[in-house]
Amino acid sequence: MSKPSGQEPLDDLNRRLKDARNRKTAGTRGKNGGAPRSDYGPAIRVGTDLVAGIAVGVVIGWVLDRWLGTTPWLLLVFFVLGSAAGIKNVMRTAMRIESDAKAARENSQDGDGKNEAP
Amino acid sequence: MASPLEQFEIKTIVPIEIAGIDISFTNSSLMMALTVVIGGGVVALAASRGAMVPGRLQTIGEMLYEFIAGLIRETIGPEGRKYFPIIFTLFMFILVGNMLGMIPYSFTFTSHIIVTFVMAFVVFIGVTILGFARHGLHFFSFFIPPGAPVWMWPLLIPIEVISYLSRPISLSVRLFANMLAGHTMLKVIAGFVFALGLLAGWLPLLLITALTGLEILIAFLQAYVFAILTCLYIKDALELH
Repeated sequence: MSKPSGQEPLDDLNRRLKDARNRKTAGTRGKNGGAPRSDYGPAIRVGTDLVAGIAVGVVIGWVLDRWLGTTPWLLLVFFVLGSAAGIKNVMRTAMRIESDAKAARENSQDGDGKNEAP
Repeated sequence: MASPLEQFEIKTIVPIEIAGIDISFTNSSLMMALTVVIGGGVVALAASRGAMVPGRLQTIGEMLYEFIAGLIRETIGPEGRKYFPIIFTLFMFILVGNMLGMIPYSFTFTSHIIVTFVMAFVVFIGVTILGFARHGLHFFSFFIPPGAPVWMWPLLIPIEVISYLSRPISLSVRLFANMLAGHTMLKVIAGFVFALGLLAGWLPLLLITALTGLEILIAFLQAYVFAILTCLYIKDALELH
């Protein structure tokens, strides 16, 4: 007779554990998920994205030119391609920063603006 | 006056040379070893007790764990749990390294491009292998922008490939440039304190105090950015677009 009474709290615990696990995997934005924000960070991020694209383009063009002896044509072509890749990087990063900021704004509205960025 | 770049000099502590390759133990290696010991030690000690009501150290450990676990949950989703160890390790290594670098007279190994580049390159290679392991040759479709007409492909695919190859560059340059610029700036302004003396030296002293606070924020922020970008790259490799 003592078994069911001992089982009940365990079942309850199981249910609550399951709930907690579902919450964890639901992908909700927790209070620990937000990043500390500053305006200096995004500027450097976008800058390096642009420069990295151009740098990779130039290096590929330069190496191919030396290898194939087509100086300076491939360098010019890959400089343009690299610039396009750099701008693409920048756009991707900028869109992510924007969507993050939007999510943070909505989040702060839900929480009565408690965790608003300074 | 000492050069503001002197702090980045590599100094050999124990000279080691094997087959003509210099693999000496330097001040950089010392700081990296210290970082591993301190970072690993803090986490190990924090996890060793496992008390219901956490003490100070355990709270720090749980905060760090929750922070990275939350980050992975948000960027990759529940599937990302598998990659927790690598992301947490990278985060802790960079964070502790940056923070140790903030101690006067110590050495900031993340201000060397080769250190940050190796970390970024490991992430890049790992993510590429992950993409191929997950999708096989279908991974190449990652370089074809969705919805683009076929005649645009010869132009768009090189752009996408260059964009992909630029990832380790921007990932490593970002961390390295932040640390290099921050620490150089601190030293330059510290030089002004002595140059201006008692008369006006307190002004740069105030500035340097504020900047040190900013630098500590950046030290944390850069570790966070490195971790979140690693998450995003893993997500890209798993989902392709």
